[in-house]
Amino acid sequence: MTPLERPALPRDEILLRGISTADWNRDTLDPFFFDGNECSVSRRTILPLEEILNILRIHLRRPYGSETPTEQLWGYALIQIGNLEDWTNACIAKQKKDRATPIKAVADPITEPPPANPAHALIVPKITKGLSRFLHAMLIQRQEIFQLEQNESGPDWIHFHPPTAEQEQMVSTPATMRSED
Amino acid sequence: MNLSVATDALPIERRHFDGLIMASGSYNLGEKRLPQSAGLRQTLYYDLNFSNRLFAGGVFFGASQNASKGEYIEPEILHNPIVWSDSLVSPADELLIEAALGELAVKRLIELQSLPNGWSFGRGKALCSASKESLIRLIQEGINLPRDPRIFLTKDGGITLVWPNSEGQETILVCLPDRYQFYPESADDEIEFLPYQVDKLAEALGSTHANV
Repeated sequence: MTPLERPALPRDEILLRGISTADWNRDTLDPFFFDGNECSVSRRTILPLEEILNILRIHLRRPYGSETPTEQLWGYALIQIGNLEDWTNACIAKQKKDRATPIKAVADPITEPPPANPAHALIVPKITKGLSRFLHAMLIQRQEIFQLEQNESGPDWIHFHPPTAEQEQMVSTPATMRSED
Repeated sequence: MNLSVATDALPIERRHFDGLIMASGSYNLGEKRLPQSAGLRQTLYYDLNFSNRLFAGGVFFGASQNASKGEYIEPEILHNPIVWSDSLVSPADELLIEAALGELAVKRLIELQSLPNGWSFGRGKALCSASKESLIRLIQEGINLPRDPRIFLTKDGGITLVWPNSEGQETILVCLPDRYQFYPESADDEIEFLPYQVDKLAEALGSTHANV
C-alpha cells in the first residue's frame, strides 16, 4: 500500500518535525521547511518526546549510516493534524487553486536506517513551496517552534526545554478556536 | 595516489584558509571527480574536522604535474564524504559572494555545501553547483542583493535567500539551476524568472531591500 493509499491519522494527533541546523539560520526558520514529497514527521502519541528527539538526532547526524556528522538537531516544531489540514485548505482557498488530493498524515513506522522510529509518519502528497511558506507562517505566528539547548561539553543537543503545559495545550487547540479567543 | 600542494600559488589571506584546502580543478581521485571552478585550476575543499581545522592550504596538483614546492597530502584525508561535495566555493566565487552578501553568507554556504545527498532525513539533495552558479550570475550581473541574507538549501539542491523588506516582511529568492523564483511578501505565488530575465528580476527586487 502506497503512503497515499493509507488511512489518514486522526485530526487530534500532534506531529513533530525536527528542525536541523540546515533549517535554521541564526534567527530564521527555512520558509520551505515543509517543502517536498512525503514530508517526514513523528507522532507524539507513539513515543515520548525525548525518545523521538534522540532518534532524530542520530538520523540527522548520520544520514544513510554515514559516520560523518552533518546536520545537528536544532529544535522541533509541533503541529496538530487538524490544524495542518485546515491551514492547507485555507491556503488553497486563498490561492484559488483546486487540489485533486487533499493533504493528510499517514503512519509510516521505519526500521532503517537504525534506530527504528515506530512513530514515523508522512504528510502526503507533495507540499508545494507556496503551501510550505503558508504553514511556516502559521507555525511562527502560533509559536509552535521549540529550540533545544546545546550540551556545553560537546556538539550534541542533549538537553531541551520541553513545551510547557500551556504550550502543549496551545498546539492541541484548533486554530479556529484560538482565533476566537 | 599522491597529491601535492604548492602553498604559495594563490594570494589569498590566511583567514580564508580557515578549514579549507584547495585541489586541482579536474583531478580524479578514485571515483571522485573534482569540478572545474570559475576558470581557475583549483577548487576549495573544506576540512570539517573541527578538532584540527586547518591541515592544508594551497593549490593541489595531480602527481603527474610539476609541483616541486608541494607537500604530500594523504589521499585518505580527501576521502571525507563531507569534503567531497560536487558543489564547492572557489576562491574567486568566495570573494564575489563575500563582497555582495557578506562574510556570514559565505560561511553559511560553506556549511550548506557540506550537506550530502540525503540531508533532511534522507530527502534532500546536495547543493547543486549550477544553483550556486545562478547565484553568482546575479552578483556578476550587478543585481543589488541584500547584505547578510538568511540562506537555506532547498530540498532539490537550490539556494534560498531570505531577507526582510522595508516593512520587515519576509522576501524570498530561490536560485535554481535553470531559473529564479521570487516570493515577495505581498504575493501568494512565486514569480519565476529565467536566466535571461535578470533585468526584470532586478526590477522586482528593487523595492524589497532593507537592512537585515
